[in-house]
Amino acid sequence: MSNNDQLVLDALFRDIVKFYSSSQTSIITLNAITAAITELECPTEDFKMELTTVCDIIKNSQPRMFPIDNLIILLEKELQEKDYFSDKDIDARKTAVTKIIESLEERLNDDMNELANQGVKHIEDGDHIILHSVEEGAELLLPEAKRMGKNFEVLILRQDLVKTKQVINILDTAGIKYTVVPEWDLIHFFDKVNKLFIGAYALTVDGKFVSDSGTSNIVSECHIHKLPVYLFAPTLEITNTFSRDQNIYLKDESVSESGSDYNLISHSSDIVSLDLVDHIITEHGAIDKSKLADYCTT
Amino acid sequence: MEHAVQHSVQHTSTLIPIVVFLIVYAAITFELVNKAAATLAGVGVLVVLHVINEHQAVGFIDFETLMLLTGMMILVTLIKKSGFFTIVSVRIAEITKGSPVKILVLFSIVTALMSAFLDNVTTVLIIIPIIIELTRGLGLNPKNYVLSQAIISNIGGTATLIGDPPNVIIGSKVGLSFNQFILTLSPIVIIVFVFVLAYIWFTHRVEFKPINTNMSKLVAVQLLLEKIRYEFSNITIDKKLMIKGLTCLTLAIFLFITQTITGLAPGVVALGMAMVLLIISKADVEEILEEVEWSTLLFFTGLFILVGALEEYGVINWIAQNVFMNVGDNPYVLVLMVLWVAGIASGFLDNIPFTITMIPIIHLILESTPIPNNILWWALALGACFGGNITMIGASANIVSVGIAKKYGVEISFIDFMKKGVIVTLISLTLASIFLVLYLRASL
Repeated sequence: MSNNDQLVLDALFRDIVKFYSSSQTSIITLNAITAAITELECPTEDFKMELTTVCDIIKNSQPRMFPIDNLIILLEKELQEKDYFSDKDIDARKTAVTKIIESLEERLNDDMNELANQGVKHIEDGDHIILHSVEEGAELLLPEAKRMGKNFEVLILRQDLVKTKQVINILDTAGIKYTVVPEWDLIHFFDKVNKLFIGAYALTVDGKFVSDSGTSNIVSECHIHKLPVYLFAPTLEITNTFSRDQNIYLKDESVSESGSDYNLISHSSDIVSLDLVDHIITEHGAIDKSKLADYCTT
Repeated sequence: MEHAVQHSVQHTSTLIPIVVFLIVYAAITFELVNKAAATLAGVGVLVVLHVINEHQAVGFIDFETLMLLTGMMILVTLIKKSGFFTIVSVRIAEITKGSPVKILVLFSIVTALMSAFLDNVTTVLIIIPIIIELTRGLGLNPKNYVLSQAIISNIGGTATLIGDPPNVIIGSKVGLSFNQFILTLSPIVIIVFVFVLAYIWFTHRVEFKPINTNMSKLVAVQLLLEKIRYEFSNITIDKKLMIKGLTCLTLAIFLFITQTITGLAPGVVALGMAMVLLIISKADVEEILEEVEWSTLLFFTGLFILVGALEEYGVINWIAQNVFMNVGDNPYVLVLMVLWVAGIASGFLDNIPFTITMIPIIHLILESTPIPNNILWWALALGACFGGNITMIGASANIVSVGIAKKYGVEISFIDFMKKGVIVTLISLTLASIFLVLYLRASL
């Protein structure tokens, strides 16, 4: 595996997940793999190696990204169980692998739709919901709830401008009423808001979740103020790996602004304890954090 | 005694415009002062010292050139505002599917075409960011792509009357039409384009290897295109303005082509269509006028006056007689000398003042040695435009490209540019020499 290929794909994942949820990023990645299989021109015997390399890159991404990580595990399992790489020409191999990927995509789409159905049950008329990034809550639930005629408002906490802009785009398109405030201003709004909606890149078996940078601050603050925290995630985001193995990416860059030069160190994502979360909502409805292991993809 | 004093006064009067001109030229070349400020300050000195009066100064200005530039700047600003160029860039990115050779070739074709019909700086401002995004996103080194687009913009701009400032000046000051430019210069520009592109590909052929044998890279391309689509989808597209803008631009080009029938000068056409578009688009005129490069227009104005003063005092005549006409009256030698002197000088000096200075010199050469079919003017146009590729400071598009690249973290040094620029210019000028010699042979 080329280190450069790993770095390039890692950087792309980190960029794309800024404006799409991790579930949507996974669907985009599956489509990208399908298109790449179609375009690929290699000797028949090299196809397996090429596919394995892509799978390894995705599973080693910085940070690890679910549901795609689990979907790749399912793809590899299927490939192992049935021998797709023997006695067939490359086109047959390509078609077979593409079919598996399409079925995985279908499963994820079904899960996301069901997550939306389960999620809207937790939105009520008069709600004032906090959002801070583009996750399943913003992408799926709120537009669906609006379509159902529910009357609620959103408080957007502004952090990364790209993410905030995309949240605004989604809410604008859905016709949802919102207010934007800087994240540090949240303290002044606890008398108005009544719920925090968040998403995750992964839920780990050691009782943590990996999420967008800045999630930890907001969740902690809401927890202190006893504001209910809802985490929406398809079960394909649950992993039997530990939080320490999530390959959090550390960026160390030289910054020069307003006459000051300094090194800025930032992490790609936060690791937060699930103890701070009040409700975990999946496509199966609310689940208990102590039973995460039951939903792991193996 | 009286005669000696009179001679001394006249000698001093001649020296003033020369000294002022050289100081202004140095200030422009070494970027010591803003170009417009430098030339207008020079004009101010000449007027204050009574070397020329304000009425003479106004008389030296070529308003045809200024009208053409202003008109094209307004048209381009409005089309750019409609989002048209963004759509074009994203579509090309999609068509390339991440193939390094396709990125090089397709973007080069678009850059050359855009440079031929719009100004080079606008072209690189549109193309360079997306090519950096695309190549860097794929893990490729953007440097050679940026360099190639800067170089190609100068080559593409050579093909038409409106493509590059030296052509605009030559066209309007000499009275050459849009059709004469495009019919004469586009064949050699296409040949140079192909050779230069082949040279760039050959010297970096390892970087341009196809990626369709590497699945990881193919996945990366798809993800990158998704990212680019998202980023550019945030740019507002104004379809009505786009249709109106493109219609006006097409109409303007049509009127350039039919100039001999309509009798409308390119400056009149460009400014006229710009005004039509401003009115029918109901655009915020103040906002659009802010986008017009007034400093460039003032720079041109000042230069016309400075060169006019040199002409008035016989300096141009002296240079023509003592430098260019010293080589004799062999038309082949004269044509090649103008081409190569213009080419080399434009690499190190700004090609705009150089062209403005050379126009009266070439008029004088032609008076003593008539050369048919405007071949000496084509030599000047080809030399001044192709020569801009020698160094980073040779053309505005080079400076802007390197500047954008730096903003994106891609460092291109003076030497980096020159390493490629010198060879490209040698190829271009050699091919142009062959073309001009053959053309002259057929014309004599």
